[in-house]
Amino acid sequence: MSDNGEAAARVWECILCGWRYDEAEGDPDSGIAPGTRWEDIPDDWFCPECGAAKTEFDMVLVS
Amino acid sequence: MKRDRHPGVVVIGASHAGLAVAAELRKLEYLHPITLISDEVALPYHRPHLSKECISGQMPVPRDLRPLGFFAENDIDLRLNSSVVAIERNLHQVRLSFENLPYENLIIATGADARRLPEAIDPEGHAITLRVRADWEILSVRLRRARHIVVIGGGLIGLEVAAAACALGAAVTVIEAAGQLMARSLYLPLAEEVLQRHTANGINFRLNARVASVGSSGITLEHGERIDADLVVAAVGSSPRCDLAVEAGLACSDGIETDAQGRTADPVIFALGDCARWSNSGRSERHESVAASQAQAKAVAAAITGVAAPPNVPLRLWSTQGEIRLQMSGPVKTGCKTHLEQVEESGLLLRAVEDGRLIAVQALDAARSFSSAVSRIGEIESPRDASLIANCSN
Repeated sequence: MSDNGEAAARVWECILCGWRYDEAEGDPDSGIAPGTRWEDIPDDWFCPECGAAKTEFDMVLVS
Repeated sequence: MKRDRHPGVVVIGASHAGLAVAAELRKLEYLHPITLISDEVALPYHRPHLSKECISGQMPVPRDLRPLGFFAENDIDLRLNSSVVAIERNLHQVRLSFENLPYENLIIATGADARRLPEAIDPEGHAITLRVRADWEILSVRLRRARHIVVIGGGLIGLEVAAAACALGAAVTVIEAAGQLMARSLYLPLAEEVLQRHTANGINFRLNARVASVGSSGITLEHGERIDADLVVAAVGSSPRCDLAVEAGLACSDGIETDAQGRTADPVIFALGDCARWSNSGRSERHESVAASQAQAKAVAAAITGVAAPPNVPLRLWSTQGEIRLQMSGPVKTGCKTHLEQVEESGLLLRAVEDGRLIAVQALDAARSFSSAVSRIGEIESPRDASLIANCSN
């Protein structure tokens, strides 16, 4: 991905199983392309590890 | 992607463990064929949903583990509704009903069956169990008709089913042989809180109680009490599916025995997930959780592709029992100190400390506190925290 001045990729963590969604990596196995912003993920998407709903994720700060 | 005629990897079992290892191999750029064999008809699905959202009716069917397109995109040959008849180690192949599949590496991820009640207790097989989608289809129909339900087993699945049945309006009684609920996965102070909340919601409990017999109209306990029921559910643990491994001469003892990377006595055969007993620093253990199977999948894929084994991370378990959400990480040990504190709105966080070090964290309706506490597992507890810790007899 090119750095075109957009905000840095953020990371979201599933509060159930701890799986992390990194906007830079996306979730290609579920059809979410790398670079997809959290807001742009459909509401019916779910955690690929534990099946938790999108609402079960929190944004986390990664150093 | 073009593949060669290399025999590649055959995975027996396409649930959480089998699918995770196939996906992980592709992530590590394993180039040879991968065949994933499932004896179920449906696409691989999230098993934990069956006893939670699916049984309560919030989710009409369990979610797929991966969308259908995933298998073609990753060149994983998924064979549904297929059974392996035998593992022929001398020929490096597995025998299916109508063909033989050669392998360079074989991965056994056959899972476990729900343990059934002994025939002496339930000779006519009235009690039903919940493990796979077909079980759930039967149970969900029976649950909606039943007025009086007995659940035998106060563990994770038993309580999930009991809470869902109670929410559907049935009278529910849970029978537990131990003196506390979820003894394998919860420390006593939190288990007592769980008991209290379920009791307040109307579930009846019999702790320290053993079932003497199950009949068509209910059960009788060993001390003579009779409880009427039009549905009896047995949630009394699982038995690993080791038949193929045993017949192939691999060592099994409540699980297929492996080393710390999942390798069996045959160096080209691995086992993981609920069917496997992994050995680690002199101890061997059968792990039954989604998190464990995913961690094991990473280790097996690393061993097969020759990359460094992934670091150990704390595994997380969870259980949704009606309105109650439990999360656990770290072992349940006797003789350590526990501290229970109120957090968030009506949540509880329990920390278990052994030799001054935090070894386990458990939470009830406190997901965010849990997430931050899990990252401190393994650390020394500060004296301020230690002063708050009470001895626990668990």
